[in-house]
Amino acid sequence: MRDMVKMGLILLLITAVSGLVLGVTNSMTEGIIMERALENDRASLEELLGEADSFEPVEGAEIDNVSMVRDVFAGREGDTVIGYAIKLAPNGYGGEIEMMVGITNDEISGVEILSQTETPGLGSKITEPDYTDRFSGLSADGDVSVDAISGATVSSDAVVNGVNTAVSLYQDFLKN
Amino acid sequence: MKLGKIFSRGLVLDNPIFVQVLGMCPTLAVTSTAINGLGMGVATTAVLFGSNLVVSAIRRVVPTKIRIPVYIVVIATFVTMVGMLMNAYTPELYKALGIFIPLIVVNCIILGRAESFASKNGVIQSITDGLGMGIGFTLALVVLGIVREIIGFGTVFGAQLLPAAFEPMSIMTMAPGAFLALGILMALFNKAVYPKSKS
Amino acid sequence: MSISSIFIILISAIFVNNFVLSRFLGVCPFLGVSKQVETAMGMGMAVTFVMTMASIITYVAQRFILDTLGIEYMQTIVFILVIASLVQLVEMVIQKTSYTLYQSLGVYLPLITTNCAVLGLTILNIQNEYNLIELIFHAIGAAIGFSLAIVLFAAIRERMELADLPVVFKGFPVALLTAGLMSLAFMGFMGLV
Repeated sequence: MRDMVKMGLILLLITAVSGLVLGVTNSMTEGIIMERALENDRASLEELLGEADSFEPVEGAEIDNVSMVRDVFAGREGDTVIGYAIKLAPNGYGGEIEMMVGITNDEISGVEILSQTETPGLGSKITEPDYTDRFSGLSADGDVSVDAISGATVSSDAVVNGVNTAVSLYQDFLKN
Repeated sequence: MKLGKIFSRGLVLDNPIFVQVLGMCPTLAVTSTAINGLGMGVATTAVLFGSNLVVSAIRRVVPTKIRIPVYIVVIATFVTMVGMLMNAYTPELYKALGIFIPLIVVNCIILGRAESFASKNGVIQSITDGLGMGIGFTLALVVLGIVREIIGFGTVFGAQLLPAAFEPMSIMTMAPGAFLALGILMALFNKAVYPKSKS
Repeated sequence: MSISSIFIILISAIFVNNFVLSRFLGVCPFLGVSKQVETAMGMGMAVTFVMTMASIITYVAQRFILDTLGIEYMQTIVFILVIASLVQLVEMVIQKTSYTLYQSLGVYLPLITTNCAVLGLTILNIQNEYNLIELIFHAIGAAIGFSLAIVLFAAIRERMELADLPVVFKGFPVALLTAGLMSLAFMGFMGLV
């Protein structure tokens, strides 16, 4: 019995030390990690909502409840909101496609693919401007449709699905 | 055993991948490019170094009965630390390696070295062993990464190697290519290291 | 949530994102314990049991301990300890209750702690933000996928024992090549969901 207590204490001690070490490392790296993540998003945000001079995250249960939506940002010029950028991750052929959709003035201002694992040479073409530009300027008042990439219907459908989800989130919630 | 011998054992004769066939999951999963292989190798070496150091230092105070959970906690602590540091300073690599960073915990090489070497030897020997095994692991990952990157993308460490006329075989960057490339490399390794055993 | 989304999770985990052949999780036991169909099945059963249990417990730990205390960075340590203790507990329970079950599963249980498919599954559950029902099906799918791959592979290897191979290819090299061909076959399932 005394042995059991002793062993338990040793295990507890080691776990406590490890918790302490990790807590310290975490507080050291946390700030840097957050900053990097924001910086990455910022590059895409500036691309999609060029006129905005500041961005802020939009929160809400309506956003959390839509599957595949990751983050929503509002772009501001001074005090007025000029547009939204919606980050989502629809399922493609080879896994999740991380993408961002910009919407300004009821119009899609652009689509950016952030990361993907589609088939190289086929589905991976969704990252090319030649494809993503097809969405720019389309009206954001209903489902959109663009020509799919030949040989990569599943990947193209996934992107369209992502854009439509962003559009309906905009119509149902963000617009008001 | 001499330190030099402890160190060099992990490089070829006891190579964790080609001879002991341990740590197959990260080996196959992250070597689609040479740089990812190198990143995983360095991360694993850092964990091996740290865990061998701590395990050998506390080997006399840890009761035998609970040694495995203790080793696991030590290893998991180092893995989490390495993960945090990578996330902060090499975010690209962190993203590319993804779930295989926390999974370094269950890389059999690390627990294997803790149990079979560090728990029985002094601190200096143990960190030498950790470094040797880690570097052997890294070498194998880089070789596999280079082979797959050349065939799959026509590049090495991101630099164009083959002329543009070469059509990259992207199958090498995907799951089947990993198995095939490692199988063939392992056969070549056998041929080179044990030339007498050929039929 | 609908039946179809559960069905998609299940099919995806078994075929499309097969844990062994496309995600590279659990390759060690896949290569190590697959010389005979019978042992492969034993391993498959043990893994199925541990995966399902581990998924539920780690989910509870994540939601009610890590998230509430704001110490998500302890995830790896907590999860691996949960898995290790679970494996130990299961081993003790079946040793006491069923001798036959212990005979067939006992030897595989210690190996499961370091099976990265189990830890990988629990982390993926959290990453994909599955709810309790979804993650149970994800676990079952992953386990069936693992068992399917390992049993099929064992059947091929049993035959391969008889083949006349160059010495340098004997053992692991040819096993890896075979796994590569199987993985190629499983790629045919891509795009299914």
